[in-house]
Amino acid sequence: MKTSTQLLPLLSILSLPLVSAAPAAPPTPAELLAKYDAIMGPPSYEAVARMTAHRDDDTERTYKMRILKSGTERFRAWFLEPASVRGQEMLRQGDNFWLYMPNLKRGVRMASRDSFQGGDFNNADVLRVNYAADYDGTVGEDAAMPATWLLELKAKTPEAAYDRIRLWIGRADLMPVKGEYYTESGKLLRTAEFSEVKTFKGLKRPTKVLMRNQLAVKRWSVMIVDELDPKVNPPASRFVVDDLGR
Amino acid sequence: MGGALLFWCVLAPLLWGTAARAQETESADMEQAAPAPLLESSATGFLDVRPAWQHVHEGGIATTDDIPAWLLVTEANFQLRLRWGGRGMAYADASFVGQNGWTFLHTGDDGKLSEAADHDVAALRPAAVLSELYGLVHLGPHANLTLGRKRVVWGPGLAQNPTDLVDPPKDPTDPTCQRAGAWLARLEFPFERFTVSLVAAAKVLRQYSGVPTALGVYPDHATTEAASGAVPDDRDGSSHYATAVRLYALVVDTDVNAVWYFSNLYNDAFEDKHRFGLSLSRVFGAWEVHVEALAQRGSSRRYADSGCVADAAALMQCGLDPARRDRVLSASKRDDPGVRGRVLAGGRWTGADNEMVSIEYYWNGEGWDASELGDLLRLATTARQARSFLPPGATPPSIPSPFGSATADPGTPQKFVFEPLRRHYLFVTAMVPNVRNDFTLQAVLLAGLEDLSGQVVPSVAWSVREWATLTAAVAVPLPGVSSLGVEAGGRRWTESDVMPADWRAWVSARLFY
Repeated sequence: MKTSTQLLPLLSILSLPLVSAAPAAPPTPAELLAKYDAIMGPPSYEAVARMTAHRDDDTERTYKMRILKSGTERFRAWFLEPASVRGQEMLRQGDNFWLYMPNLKRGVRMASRDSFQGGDFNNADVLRVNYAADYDGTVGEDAAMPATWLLELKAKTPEAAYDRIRLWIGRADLMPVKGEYYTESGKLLRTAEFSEVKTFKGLKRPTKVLMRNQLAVKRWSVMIVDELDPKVNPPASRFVVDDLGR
Repeated sequence: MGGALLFWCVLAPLLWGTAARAQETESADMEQAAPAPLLESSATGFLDVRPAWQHVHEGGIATTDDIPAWLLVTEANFQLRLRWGGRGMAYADASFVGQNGWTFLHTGDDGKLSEAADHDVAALRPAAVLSELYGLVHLGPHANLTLGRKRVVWGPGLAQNPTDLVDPPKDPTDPTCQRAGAWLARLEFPFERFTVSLVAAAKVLRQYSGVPTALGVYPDHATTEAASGAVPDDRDGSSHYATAVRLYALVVDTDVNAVWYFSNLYNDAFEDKHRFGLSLSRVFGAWEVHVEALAQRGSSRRYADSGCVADAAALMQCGLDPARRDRVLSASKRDDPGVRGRVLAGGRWTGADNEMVSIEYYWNGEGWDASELGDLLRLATTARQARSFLPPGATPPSIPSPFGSATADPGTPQKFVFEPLRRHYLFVTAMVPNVRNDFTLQAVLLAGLEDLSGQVVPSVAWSVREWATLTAAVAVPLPGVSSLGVEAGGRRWTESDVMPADWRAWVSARLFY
């Protein structure tokens, strides 16, 4: 089962030319979800990223973090800058999230839908990129964006970041282009724009995600991946609660 | 810089000596990993300047002589982390604290306040606070050893941690203020879903300007002050320690901690004492819900002999009777077979923009009931009256304060020391961040539920820059309902009345680097 899961992204990639050459037969939702996960949340990686939160008074705050991911269920982040949050850490283990506060000297439990450092991403946006596990979907087309597939997603677990997502995926390269994130009642919470595709050690992915807060329209946040190594194999001991703060 | 030097001298040989063995055991776990740098380091810290004012009120129980109305606290903190790949790490969190106090008030035997000259106060001397200073060595993928000073908090409580018996106490109105830990050795076996920890902590018995010189056992020699007779020689032949075995498990998405403690004269009067702690924490939607409990037999608190506190004559009679003298104020229920507990139960709600509300109820099973607290208050007021009967120049009998903990090391200087006298308390914290982007509003309520006294601490923090925060706060006393208070000495006392100060206010400028 594990092997077939690991092969899914590979199969998706191998089938790309066929998919692109046959517009009458769009890829399945499972194929697109697997491809999205393989691009935005590869099985294991270590990265350095910056999140800049633009606030409604036209000022901004930038947070720099180191990220470590292992498999679909383990995630860890260390905040490096600014100095006021240096030492804070986040850990995800399955559906469980902890925030390590250096002044409390311990990790506190938090919810997946809490705001990520007060920006316009939530914790699950960053720590839980596993759409194949979290969403069911259908594939359609958007006349306004003919070069993309429109993936309509619905959460199948309450731990998912959003209740509904509309995701536009490029037909040519299957890169995410745009996303809309909704509540269960259909209220638009956020929109995302994916851009600046680069290749990190064989992994091609957008390095910039612009997330606009639709509830506070003057606010938006940008996540930029500066470094990414998809070939690391971090030890499991880095993803346990008692390792926080070390 | 002195702390950094000490840090290197103590920990570097330990870590280098064990690095080779640890590397071998980690190698299987790190297969195919990119070669990590030999040494990663990070440093951070802050400079905090905090002018504060407090209103010392008349009629309290505690002596006010060493409590300044005006206080300036300056703290220069540095935190250094060194990490040798998967082999181990070393960490230091040290502060150099300068404190100045002005405007002191003396409490007379009649309870009236009068101005006192500025004077030397031991608690306000400059200090190096080594909050944490430890080295950790990985003995394998699932074993590590920690040596040094470390804050080890296993319980999920925010305002209080009833299962934390080893660390200096924290201020429930600002839990982030206490960063100091205990001097300990810890052997830990972490796995993905559970961890076993073995801890042995030694009590700080002597320390000078924040630097300990005696851990666990007293030195052979008395201090200069004790040798000259200025203070009693407090040495004993006992070992002062606490040991703990803790099992953590993640069960049904719930953090579960079970702890067994065995301690001897560590931060309390208990000898060879077994205690058991349990905590649970789980997230339900936007709520984190937790409970943290500790069970023990007996009480380490002091109780007054009710037969000795009726009036000054009875107290003096007890003081002159060798058979009763030691029972005037004693830990008379230390070996009581009845089970007592401490339980903290509550929840924390977090909103979409990180607004937070925390509500916690605390049951302090070691709290005094109305009769017991009444006896203690009668003892304090009667002792004051008895002093006025003494002829000029006579030395009054020494009666230790029944209030205050036995913690010799207070850790980081706290804004407020919480001493729960009674049994039922409520802690509420509400915080709204990102108000006009850079402001955080917060209010903390600490209320005793038996007499409804306590305090409310509203504050506003302005993040002027990413590296600078200004905070202003005021502690508003809640006097409580007098009729619910305890009768002693011809009046009714709420817990607020016992405190030496009521209103407090401070501003803080903190610069991060």
